Amino acid sequence: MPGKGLADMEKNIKEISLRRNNGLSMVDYAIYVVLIGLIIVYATLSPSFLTTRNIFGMLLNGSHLLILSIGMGFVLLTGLIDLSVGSIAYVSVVIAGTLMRDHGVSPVSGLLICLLVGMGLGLINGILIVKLKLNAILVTLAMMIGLRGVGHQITKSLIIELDQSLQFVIIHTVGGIPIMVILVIALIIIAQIVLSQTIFGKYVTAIGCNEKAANNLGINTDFIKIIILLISGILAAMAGFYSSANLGTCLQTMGDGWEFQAISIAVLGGVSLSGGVGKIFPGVFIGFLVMVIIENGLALLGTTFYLLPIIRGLVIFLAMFADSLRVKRAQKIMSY
Amino acid sequence: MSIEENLKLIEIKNIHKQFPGVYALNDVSITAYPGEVLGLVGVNGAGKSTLMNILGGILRPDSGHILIDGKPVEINSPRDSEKNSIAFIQQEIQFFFNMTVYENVFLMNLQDYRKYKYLPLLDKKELCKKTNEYLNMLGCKVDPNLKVGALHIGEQQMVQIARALAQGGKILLFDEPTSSLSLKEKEKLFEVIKNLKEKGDTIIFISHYLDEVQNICDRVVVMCDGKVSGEGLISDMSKERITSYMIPKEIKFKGVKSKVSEEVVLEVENLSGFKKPKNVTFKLHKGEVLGLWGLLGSGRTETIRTILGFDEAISGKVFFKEGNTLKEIKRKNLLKACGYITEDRHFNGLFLAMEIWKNITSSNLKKFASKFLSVLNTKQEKEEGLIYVKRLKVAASSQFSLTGQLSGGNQQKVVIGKWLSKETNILLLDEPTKGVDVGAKIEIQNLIRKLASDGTSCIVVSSEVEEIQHLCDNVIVMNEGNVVAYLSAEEMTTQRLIKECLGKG
Repeated sequence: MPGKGLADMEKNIKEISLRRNNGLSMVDYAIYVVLIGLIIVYATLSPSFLTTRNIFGMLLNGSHLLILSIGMGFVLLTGLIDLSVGSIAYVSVVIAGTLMRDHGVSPVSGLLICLLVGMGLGLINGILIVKLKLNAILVTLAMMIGLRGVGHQITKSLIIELDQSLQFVIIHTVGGIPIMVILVIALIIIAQIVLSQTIFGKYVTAIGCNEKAANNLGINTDFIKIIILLISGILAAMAGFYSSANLGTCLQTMGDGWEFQAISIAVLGGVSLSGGVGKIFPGVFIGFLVMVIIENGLALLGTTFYLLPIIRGLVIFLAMFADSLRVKRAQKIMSY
Repeated sequence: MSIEENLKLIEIKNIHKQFPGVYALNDVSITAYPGEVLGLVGVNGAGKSTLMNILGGILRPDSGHILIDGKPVEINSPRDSEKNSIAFIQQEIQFFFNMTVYENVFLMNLQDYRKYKYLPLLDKKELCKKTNEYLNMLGCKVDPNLKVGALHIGEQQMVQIARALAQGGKILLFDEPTSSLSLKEKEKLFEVIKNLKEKGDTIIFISHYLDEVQNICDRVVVMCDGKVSGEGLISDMSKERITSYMIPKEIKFKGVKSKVSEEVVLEVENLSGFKKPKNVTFKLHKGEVLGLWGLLGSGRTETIRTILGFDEAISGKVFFKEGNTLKEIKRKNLLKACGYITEDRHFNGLFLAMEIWKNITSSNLKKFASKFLSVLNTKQEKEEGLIYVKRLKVAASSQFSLTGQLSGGNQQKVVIGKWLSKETNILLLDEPTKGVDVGAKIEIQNLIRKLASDGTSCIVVSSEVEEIQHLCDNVIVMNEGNVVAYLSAEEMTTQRLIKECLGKG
């Protein structure tokens, strides 16, 4: 049949092109185009945009989001979701902050306590989702609402003043670069190495790709999922601690809406909501840059305060749209 | 390591496994020798896949032993299975489509490929090299850095086999490996299996394509209803013999004597639709099974749909017996008095998450509802439903099993029961045994015969000559929407049927 031969040929051509770029397409490059476009536009509109002061300020003020997004990246890669990160951050800092203020706990022990609380809460998430087989969205949503209440109960809805010595990491620089920026970039690179070069990372991707197959092959999927949620809890607490130390106080609204910002950064950076696809570096990092640059630029241009949530909403929408395009393409590849 | 040590003999002894509702494996014992391909055949639900899942560590047996080289082993997880050099190549390809070929091949053996002794980093170069080695062994040239999702299905299968070998598999279980392969890919796979066999691996090959089994296997074990029903060298097992082992012994077509009466319950006169049917005229008698036979596209389904008023008719009348007289009936009202079982009943005929009795009564809920506000009398509904479960001999673990737990054949019985509970006298069945296995097919045929002898009239559409010959008292042969012949049971020879349907073309 001549018709069939032609269809076959067409299919072959398509397939070869798909293979050559190994599944990469326009959608994956789009984010870089957006990033460069944003930089050019802002740099021409505002002279202060490309100054080192602004760049480091931007990175320092946004670092908590980057830390959160690393954790969220891992969570999404496993095919899970964690909506409780903002509230975990709040409760962890509230507990550590109260201890530091009222009981004379040193800042270093305070940080440790904060991280331990985050870890414990992440572990609870993990046990509820994995062992009791509850839905991840609902468990973490309940945690998000409930933990916020716990935090307010402890603080009586007041702010907590933190020790000024905590601003050390923000003020000090090494070779002109703030220590915190170096630390965060190191963290993101380590995270990417863990993801792409270690057995743990491969298992995480495998679970996100096809959990049943991973289970059938003998991967301890339950254990890895719990560990991932636990890491997410630790990173959330870390982000909370950093954010509060940066401000010198722990606000009542700290952590509010962080979960969605982290999810949109991760998805903007190419992590798929359906799991198994994505990179921490450059992926999530680029997503982070796009997000903070949009907000920083708007602030520099002096736009109205109310524009910010609108822009955030649009960015989340665009990120999800790009993700759905990616999923569609993946299905197309698979149908060959 | 000597060659001897490399060869693995696997013995499965007295394995039992029960699922809710099904005795999946009943005292199964099988031995597979190194350097041979053992074929495992059986109809759907015979227990083949359950047995393989037990060997693969995905399910646990209720009792029984597995011996490898004479030593009993415990297989409680896929890891245990792997440790005992069993590799399971599953029916649904078990892949991580977004991951690369080398990651898929070595996923479970990554711990052996560290770049540095004290850092847990992986050695990608070494992994790719090894992956290439395995793939070359299988005669498959694929770049290990490609994502598996971008490969052909045939190549994916090779990757899966490579994974089995990389895991140190000496006992390879192939569960219906050819179901999604093209002919060329199939030949390639058989070649690979032959090579592995010569290497001394033990291979168990599951399939329900007997041609494949005869092509590739040295010995064959036939399973039926969770038991081993026959085994032997492939040279001794003809296709007919294997088939006879595959069908449960106790179920045979009974061929109840027909009790066709003179009484006409449905008469169709000169019925024509837009394209098909054309001038169809026939009479259906009480207790008759009337077949509608023809090649694909001969207008059988269209005829039924036109009779029931789903498709528009240009001309023609339908008479239906109400009380004692035969009256003309509006075709749309006919459906209320008839049972109609469509071809695709699995998709739209059942509520799988509901109990069987609820499914049966679902077409006739009015009967159990109160006049005011239509409150259901559940007790009465249940009693009635359970009567049909018994009458139709639906094989379920308990009367309260969910319909989704039943096999395809039993689900079909529930569909029939659903219409029977409407207390209809006429049943129209479109391909009632399509897609069910041999055993269930015969049971359904028996059921239809029994219904007819109890006085229900049936019209059966079927493509299978054998089924028509078994079931029908009379058959209408159709061709391009026309009735070309009306044959009685004695005239229904295969040659005659085919001659009639082609004759006027």
